Amino acid sequence: MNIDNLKSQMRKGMLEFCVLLLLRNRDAYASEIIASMKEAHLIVMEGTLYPLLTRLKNDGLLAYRWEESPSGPPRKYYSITPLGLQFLDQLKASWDEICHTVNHILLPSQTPPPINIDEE
Amino acid sequence: MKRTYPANIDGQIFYIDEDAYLMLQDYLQQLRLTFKGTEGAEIVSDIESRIRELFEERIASGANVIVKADVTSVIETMGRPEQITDEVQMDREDCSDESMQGSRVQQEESKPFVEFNFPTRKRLYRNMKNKIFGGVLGGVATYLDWNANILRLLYAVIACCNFWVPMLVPMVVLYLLGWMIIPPAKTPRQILEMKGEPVNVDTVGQAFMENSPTAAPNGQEEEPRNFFSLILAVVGKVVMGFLGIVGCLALIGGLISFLSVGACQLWYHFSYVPDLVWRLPWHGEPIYFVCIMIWSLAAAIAGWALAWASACVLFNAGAASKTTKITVFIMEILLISLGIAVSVVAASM
Repeated sequence: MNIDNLKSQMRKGMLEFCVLLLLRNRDAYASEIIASMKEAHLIVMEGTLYPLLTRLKNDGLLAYRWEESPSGPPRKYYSITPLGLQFLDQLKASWDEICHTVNHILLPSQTPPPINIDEE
Repeated sequence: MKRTYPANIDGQIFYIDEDAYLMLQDYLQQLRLTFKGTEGAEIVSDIESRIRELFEERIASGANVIVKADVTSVIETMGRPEQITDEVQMDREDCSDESMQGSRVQQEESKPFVEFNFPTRKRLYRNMKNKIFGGVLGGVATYLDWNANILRLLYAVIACCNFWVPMLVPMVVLYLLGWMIIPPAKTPRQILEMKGEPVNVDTVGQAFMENSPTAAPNGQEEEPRNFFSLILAVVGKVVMGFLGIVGCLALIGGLISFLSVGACQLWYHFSYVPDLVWRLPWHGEPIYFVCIMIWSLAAAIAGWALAWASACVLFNAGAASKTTKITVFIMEILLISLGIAVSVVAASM
């Protein structure tokens, strides 16, 4: 059992979830998303994000539009679709469940309430 | 000193060192191979636009040229194709244990980035490091993996033969055509392509080294300047000088003939003194004038090209640009075909 492999698998499962979360309240272009995700130590390789965004877009969870930028060529702004929001709700529910379970095992004495991401 | 290329990355021009350029090109090519289809094209173009941003930051912080270190850092930031797919594609349906192991094995087998080689098509260039006139035969020999001197000797023997026509003229013309059409191998990339070696960062670096004058004497391509090639060179220069003189004569003769016949024609048309015209052998038929004018012009242009070519070899004069060469070549072909057509018409009259 390779610990790095396991760790990266855990992270991978969360990537889509986090991208959707980031785009939930505001639209952003790829570099902004990258900056946030790097800040949160979610991704190491920036290139990882692009296949992810394209796939989410092709699955109808994200949409994009071109917007002029103050410098350079137009930027591709991503926004979440209604389907994406639905998807996000399901993911969040499942995330809460996972957190609850893990915390329950981790700290058997004091079961914390599920983390409410909405108020983060 | 390094050669730089202007490169258009997502609509922005960057000046990139040659080795950095090749590295980036390889990287993008690998991405394209990894991400296929329309979805893949979109991914690669998004990554390219991110690379543009990263380079812009680099330029904004004071760099003039994108160097290899910049490209390396960009690749480290973005991740190599296998790293990207490894991070992302697990949650597709192919994440069953078997295929995971398969992909891991594959990944272990895949070579590290820098050694990634694309099959390079061997290309015909003029070999500028093994040349006597223009490096045409040197280039052909490199292309065919032959010995250049043997090929030269063979060529010279054929040129001296006399089948049903003297072979000298067509062989010389063929050589000059090759000189015009085949591009010279100047950049390290072209030199590698000429030898059919893979073009990547390592080999380009090597070609740089071999190309630099300090390392040149022991270069493999440099054939020893033996007695034989010395003789060839001397004979070649003499022949070239002769051709130059012929070219100059043809140029002058052609021009004189062109102008004088033209003058005669004008005279014939606009003068009321027919005496001079009747003394000419062709009785003033305009088509004969036209015919002679076309041929003199063709001769003058051919002579000019020949004189210039020999001047390039003998006196290191600047070579004509490719556009000039092609224009002159097309003009010459047009003139000759026109001349033949007019001559045929004139003869049938």
